[in-house]
Parts: sequence; C-alpha cells; structure tokens
Amino acid sequence: MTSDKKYNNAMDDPRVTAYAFGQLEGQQLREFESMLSSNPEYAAAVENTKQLVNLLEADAAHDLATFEPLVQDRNQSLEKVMQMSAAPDDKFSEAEISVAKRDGNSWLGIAAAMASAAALIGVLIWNGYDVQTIDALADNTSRADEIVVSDELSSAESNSAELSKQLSELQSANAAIAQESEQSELAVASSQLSRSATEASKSSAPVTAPVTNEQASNTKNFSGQTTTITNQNSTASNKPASSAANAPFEPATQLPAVAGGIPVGTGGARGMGVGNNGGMMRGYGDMMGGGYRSAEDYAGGAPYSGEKGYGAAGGYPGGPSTPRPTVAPTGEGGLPDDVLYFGDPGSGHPAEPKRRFESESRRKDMPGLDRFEILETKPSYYYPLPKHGSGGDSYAEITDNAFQKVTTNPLSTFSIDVDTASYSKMRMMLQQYNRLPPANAVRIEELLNYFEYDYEGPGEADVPFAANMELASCPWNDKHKLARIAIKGKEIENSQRTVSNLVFLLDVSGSMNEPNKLPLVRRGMEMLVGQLGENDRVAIVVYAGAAGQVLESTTADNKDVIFEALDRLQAGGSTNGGQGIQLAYQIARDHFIKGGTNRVILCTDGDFNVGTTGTDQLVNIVEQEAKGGVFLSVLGFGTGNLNDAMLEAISGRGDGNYAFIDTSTEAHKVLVEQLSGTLVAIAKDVKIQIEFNPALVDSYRLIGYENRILAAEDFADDTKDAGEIGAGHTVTALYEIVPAGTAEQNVTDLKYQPQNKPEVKTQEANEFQDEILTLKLRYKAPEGGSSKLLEFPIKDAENAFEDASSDFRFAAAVAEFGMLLRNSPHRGEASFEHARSAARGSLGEDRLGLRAEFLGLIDAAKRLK
Amino acid sequence: MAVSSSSKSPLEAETASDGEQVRTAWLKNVFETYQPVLLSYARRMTRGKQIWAEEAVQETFLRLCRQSAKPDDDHLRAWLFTVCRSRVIDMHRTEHSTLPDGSTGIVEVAHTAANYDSSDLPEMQIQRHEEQQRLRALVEQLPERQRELLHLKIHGQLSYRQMAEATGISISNVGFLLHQAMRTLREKLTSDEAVC
Repeated sequence: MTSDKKYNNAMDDPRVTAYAFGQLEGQQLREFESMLSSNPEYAAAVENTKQLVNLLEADAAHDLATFEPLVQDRNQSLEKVMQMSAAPDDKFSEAEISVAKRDGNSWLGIAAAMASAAALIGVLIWNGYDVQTIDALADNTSRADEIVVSDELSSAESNSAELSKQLSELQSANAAIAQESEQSELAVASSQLSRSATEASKSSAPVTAPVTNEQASNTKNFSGQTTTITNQNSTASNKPASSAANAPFEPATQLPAVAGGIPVGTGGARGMGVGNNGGMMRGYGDMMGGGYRSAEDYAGGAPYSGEKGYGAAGGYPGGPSTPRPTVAPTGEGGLPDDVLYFGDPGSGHPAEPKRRFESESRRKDMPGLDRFEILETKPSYYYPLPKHGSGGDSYAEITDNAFQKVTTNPLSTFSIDVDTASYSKMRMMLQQYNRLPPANAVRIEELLNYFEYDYEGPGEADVPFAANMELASCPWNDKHKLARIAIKGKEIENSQRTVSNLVFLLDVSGSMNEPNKLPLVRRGMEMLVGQLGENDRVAIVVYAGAAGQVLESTTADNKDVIFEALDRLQAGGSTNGGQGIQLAYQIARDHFIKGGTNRVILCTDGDFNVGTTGTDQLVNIVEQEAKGGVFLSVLGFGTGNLNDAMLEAISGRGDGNYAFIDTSTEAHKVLVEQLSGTLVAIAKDVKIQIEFNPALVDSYRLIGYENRILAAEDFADDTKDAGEIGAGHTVTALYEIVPAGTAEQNVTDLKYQPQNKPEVKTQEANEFQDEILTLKLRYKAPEGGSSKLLEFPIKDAENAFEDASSDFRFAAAVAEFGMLLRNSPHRGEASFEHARSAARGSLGEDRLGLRAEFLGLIDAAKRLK
Repeated sequence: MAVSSSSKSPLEAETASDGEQVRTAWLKNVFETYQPVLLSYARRMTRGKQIWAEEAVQETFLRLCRQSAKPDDDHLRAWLFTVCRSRVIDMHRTEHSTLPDGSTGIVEVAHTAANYDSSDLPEMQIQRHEEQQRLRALVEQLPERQRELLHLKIHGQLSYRQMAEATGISISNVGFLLHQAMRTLREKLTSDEAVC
C-alpha cells in the first residue's frame, strides 16, 4: 500500500496517514499497530492525524448539510431526457419480442434497445437542439459510421462533435450490452427492435461489438475523457439500458404506465422502487445524520419532492408512503435522540445496511440483476459523525420532577412558562416525520399551554390575571389526586393593544433555504404585519455571514414597503446571530416607545453559529435588554439545526416567549390569533408558589416545568427573573398529589427534626384544615418595579375525574400523553387509549380545532410506540 | 401490450419488466444518494464555481444513465467520482483558454472559505469555526495534486486504490502525497494555533 521504504520517524511515514484513513491492512496493519503501542511519537502523530481527519470530515459533512440540489432547469432537462426515452412504443411485434426473449439474459438488451433512439433524441434535446436538428441528427445517425469517434472530435465545440460524443457513448453502451448478453443474436434482435422503435434509429447497422470483459469494466472506459471508446465499430444507436434507464426521475406513480407501455412488461411497479428508495433514504440519512443538519431537513423541506417533479416511490414525503425517521447516533452531546435520519421506508421494507432484493434462485434467471445490487449501503460512504460538530437538533436533558414529601418540602416554587414550541415540534415530528419525538424534546408544560382553556379572566382592571384551580382524582393513579393550577391573563383586543415597536431579527443563513423555513418566516411576518397599524413600527435585521439591516424602522401602514423587504430576503451564508441580535436591540432602543411594546422577534432555525455563541453570553445580552424594556420573542422554524435549549433559555430569560412554527396554520395561531399575547406582556417575572397542607397531602409532584423550578427563597426575591405572561395567555400546571395517609413511608423519618406529624400542627392548621393547598403568585408590571403578591387557597374535595370540567380533563389527557412520550417513570397506568378517550370526551368548543388535531397525534404516537 | 405469447411464462415477462424498474429505481437511488456528495466534491474541486460543479455532476449522471456496463457495488462510488473529477478537469482545460478564471459561472456558495470573511467579528468566533475556516484556507493552499487527492479522499471516501485508479497516480504515491498533505495541514494548524 504505502512504500516499502523504511521510515524512522512519524513525520515522514505515510503509514501514519494511511492508518488514520483506515487504509492499512493485513501484515502491514499488524506491524504498524505493534509499533504504535511502543512508540509515543507515532501514537501522537496518529492521534493528531485522526483528529485532522475528523475535522476535515466534519467540514465535508458541513458541505453536505448545506447542500443545494441541482437547479431546477437542470433537473428538468435531466428529467426530459428520461421521459423522452421512456415513451412507450407499441410497434414491437410479438415475434420480435420472442426472438429477443429466447435468451434469459435478454431482459436488459431488450429494454436497452427499445428506448435507444428516443434516448438519443432526449439527450440531444437536453443539449438544446431543436426538433429540426434532431431530424438532421437522425440522418446523421444513419451515417454514424462516418463519424469517427475520437478524442479530438469529442473535445471540439461543434454540434457534430457533440453528436459524435453522444453517439460514441451510445455505441460503447451498445457494445457493452452485446457483451453482456453474450449472444450476437440478441444484439441483432436489439437493433432490430430499435429500428422499429423510432425514426432515428431506422438505418442503424447491425452490431458487432467485440468488447471484452476487461474493456467493458475497465475504469478507463468511464474515466470521463469525453470519449474514450475508439475500439469499437459498432454503429447501432442502441442506448444501453432501457426505457427505465431513461426514466429514473419519473414519478413513481407513472411507473406502472411505463412498464405497461413496453411490450415485455406485465408487472406494474411492484414495490421495488419503494424498497430502493428506502435504501436510498437510509444512505442519505446516514450521510446527513452526522452533519450539521440532519436528513430530516431534506425530506421535511422536500427539496426534491413534487415541485421538482420527481417525487420518488415511497421515499419522500408526499409520496405514497412516508419515510420513517429513526434515531441515529449523534454528534455533540451524545444524546442519541438528537439526530434524525430516515430509516425504513413507509412500505415496511426494512432498510438494512445489506439488502438483497432478489432471492438467489430468482437471480439466476436474471443474470443482469446482480449488477444492480448497489443498494447495499456500504459504510464506506457514510459520513462519519463529526466529533466536533454540533449536529442535529439539540435539547437540554429533562428529568421528570419526583414526588416531594410535604413534611420536608411543603413549598413548590416555579416560574411560569407560556412557551408552546415543544408542542408544535412534537406535532411536526409525529405528523411530518412519522416519528416519536425524543423524550427531551417533550416539555409537558408547553404541551399543556399550547391549548386554549376557557378560564375566567380577571374581572377588575387592577389585577393582570386571575387564578383558577380544580381538583379531581388522578386518571393514571386512582389513589392519587390531580390539582390543576391555572392563571389567565387579561385579554386585550388587538385594537386596544399598545403601540408596538418591533424589530424582526431574521436568520437568513444557508440552512434557512428550505420550504418550511424562510418562506414560512416570510409568511408569518406578513401575517403579523397585517395586524399592525399606522402607529406601530417594524424594522428588519437579517443575519447570516454578517448581520445587516434590510429595513429601517418603518411605520406599519407602509405595508408594501415592509412586504417588499420581506420578499427580497434570500438565504445564504453562515450565521452570526450574536452580531444580529445586538443590531436588532440597537434599533429597538433607537425607536423605543415608552409604555408601548418594544420587542425583538427572532426567527431562526437554530444556532447562533458564529459570533456571540455561548448561551450564557446571549442570555446576558437578552436579560440586560429585557431590563431596559425590550423583550424578545423567539420563533423557531424547521429542524436539523435547532438549538432548542438555547432558544428556550434566551426567550425565558429575556422575558420573552418561544414558539415553534411548523406550519402556516401555526404561524397564524401565534402571530394573528394570539398576537396580543405574543406581543403584549401584561406581567413579567411571574412566579408561582404552592404551599401544601401536610394534614391533607403526603407528597406531591409537579408535572412538567422541570427547567422552571425555583428555590423556595427565590419566590420573594425580586432579583430572580421569571417568565412573562402575555395578554390573554393562560398558564396551566398540574400537580399529582398523594393524599395524606395513603402513601407508604418511603422517606426516612428525620431523627433530629421536630416530628412534622400532622397532629403537631393541628393547632395552626385548624383554621385552614380543609384547604389542601394555597397558590401564591408574584408578578411585576411589565415596566418593572417591585413584585406584587396574590394568594388563592383551594379546598380539598372528593371529585371524580369524570366530573371535572372539560378543560381539566383535557389538560390531564395532554399531561398523560406527554408522560407517555417522555416515558416518565411516574406515568403509572397511563395509556394512549385512556388519554385519547379522556381527550375525546373533553374537546369543548375547540375554536381553532387544536384539540381535535391532538387526537390524531395520540393515534400517531400510539402507532409508532 | 404485455407478453402473452404462450411460449412465455408470466414469470419471464415479469422479469423483464422488473428489470427495467429495478434499473429505474436503481438510477434514481444512485442519483439521490450521490447527488449531495458529488456536488459538494465538485464544488470544492472547482473552488466554489457552482455552475461548473452542477454541470459536472449532471454530466456524471447522464453518463451513468447511458452506461450499460454498470459499475458494480464496490466500484460505483469510485466510478462516479472518477467521472466527475474528469469532467471538472475537462472544464478547467477548455474554460481556461477562453475565459479568465472567475469571469463566469462563479457562484460563491455559503460556507466556502471566502464566506468566513472579515465581516465576521473574529474575536467573537468560536474556536471550531476558526479552526474550520483556517483548515479550508490551508487545504486551498495545498499543491494541486495533494489538494485533489484530499478532496477525493474526504468527500469521495475513496480508498487509496480507487484514488490511484481515478487519478493514474500509483498507490504508494497516493499514500505519499496524502501524507504530505495531512502533514502540512497538521503542522500549519498547530503553528497557527501557537500564533493565535
């Protein structure tokens, strides 16, 4: 492999590199490895080189992640070639077919012959020849033997050279067919067939094609020197491989028609395409999985599907079956769920790495077939997972809250969270990718808060929100109770909304160039602008390689100006979110509206790749700005790159909200239906503290809000930031409660503590003994100042789950579903069936149809589980 | 339409039809699978000339469609990269004489080295990106043959033997040149880091 020369240092020894590339084998490998173990210099060099290989491969993976498919007209022209030649021709007589088919090997040859001339025309059309030229070419074809195929000619610029090039390739192909069929009889038959097939090949001469095996498979033959086949004198214009060869980009649905149009075909598309595409997707996914963006982008963004005209059989969304994303091992963080790739196709063909699609005996009848076993997706072209890459979506780890003993932890404190991103993300995974979301992507509080609940708002104007509580038995554990804590923010009509000063901060990096990203951002922003009036202001900042302002702060009555700026947006470049966010805040401050809504709306598919990248740094900026009165809303788009944890962190700390926009319906919900909530904060730093009564409660567990938990002492600490609540927002939290006297004692009694037995407290508890818990709320006005405290006690009650309000039952069903998706250790007897029937019976008014949609998600998850 | 001759068994008829479909599916599969890698390889080879890269990739696939002697499993990847490479080289040969480099067809794509330009705030860039940016620049500076082999290796994932076949360079020379390339990169990366 490498030179035999002995090297005495690692610097000069090519084996170091060969080893790092996995190119050493056998004796050489053993020798090298034994030396490696004893020679630290070599070991270091190898280590270094491997790191470099990783770096280079990560970079290549990055390329793939930003891969843009062939431009449309190229695709179309390629397609045209294929379709032209795929046109069925019914001139074949059965006699000819039977001649051709006498030989078992003939399948390829026949197929080849049939489409040959048409293929030639197709090729020429691709090259821009018009019909007349093609006619002329047909003549030329008949004189093909006059055209000497040579390198000189083929490299010349003239049309005829172009033709000769095409021809020579066809010849070579034909020759190869002849060789492949090993029967000149067949070759003749082929050319006869092709003669009758089209005008163009009418005068093709019969073939004699003395090509040896070596010649056919010699890499030089396809080394790309434009035309290298000079050793044949075959002149038939036979096209190598069949109509099928020319129709690789046919939509799958047309396959049966194509097959039917060809005399030798009886079978329709029999799932082969499906299997193949499954295999393809798999290979694809593997390549992408390690990249900076996962394969799901490709399918999700459907860069090739319908619009490009070759939706593939089964492999693509929109095709007859949906690919099923499955979990791939991942890059950074090592969370196995981070990256998606497409595994088996929806058809159920397993996409094993090695997949043969014909049995041994069957293949004997079709010798040509073994040439097609390319489906085996060899690891050799998988892109390795980059060690340094920030591949795929990243989620912060979530550990379900555990049960807390009331005796030791009577207080439960958390910050509210009105985000909904986790729900839309989960929905996207289930609906569009047919895949269960990773557990860490499921934040139950965001699932709960995604829905509208008909809670009563605050009556009087001096409180920004009202509290609602309800208690009933717990559906997944009949010994337990479920308490719902809910607050409802004051509604503000869009017309009553305070004046807004908005800065759109839009990510236009290359990865945004997907149908479900930038176009959706554009649509969403247009919807939002549509809601604004002449007193509102909008500015647009984009960031990619460098940040820039594309629209100065403009009053929203100039909608055409704003729309035009949105239209001009184009994706390209890498991300410098840090710079962009600073610029956006700068503009927001410059146009600050006192007493109004001052907000930066960040739309991104992911990371702030370049610039102020550390989450902490960004959070600092955002937090500082929020103190100055400029809030942040984060709208997440697409997948593959989404740094969910960071987006959650910066929106949460920046007194903002975080929504994930997966569809334009969702954009409408967030930016039109609930615009006031999105834009107008009615209170900030809203904290909830629950005090449980040990006389009635043994232990409790907050469902969800894992990353919103505060220490008890933070409740009254006004320097501790917490979530904001927008106009009309509702916040719902559920506690699972173990009533006193029912639980087994699994917490060790504390020896030195005063015995916190209920009787000890009897004296004080008397007055409140029928209260199971008290809800305490702290909040600040949006402008800041010191916090205000509200208290709401709730009395114990024996309420069957079935008798609870429909909002309660629906929320419980959502939580149950979330626990199942998270595989929560506390899910008890939760089941999809139960969640579904509970949700089914509590749809309520369902103004936006969201609850009904939820039923579908339960079904989808149940199928996938 | 379908073969109905009594001498033909249905199985045989189906076989032919299957063959076409297998072929169709196979081509489609190959196209979809390799398009991204080939394009990114070609883009690197052409130093970011998107149009050339696309041209080369398109031609590669057309050629595959016309190819009857299909390369077998092991060789497909090598075949595609070999053809694609030749196309790029051909283009360089013909285009160079007529057009000054850079006058046409150059679409700077995101993420080539040039994209990480000075408008980024260097002090804010995280190390990974600096590293990658440096690395790209360094790869670009490698001697032509080394650069080319490296792209074939990294993007094409070809074996030494396949690279030797593709380029006409002997295997041991491939090993030597690649090692040179890797050594240079390692050294420069380390010395750069020391400077920073």
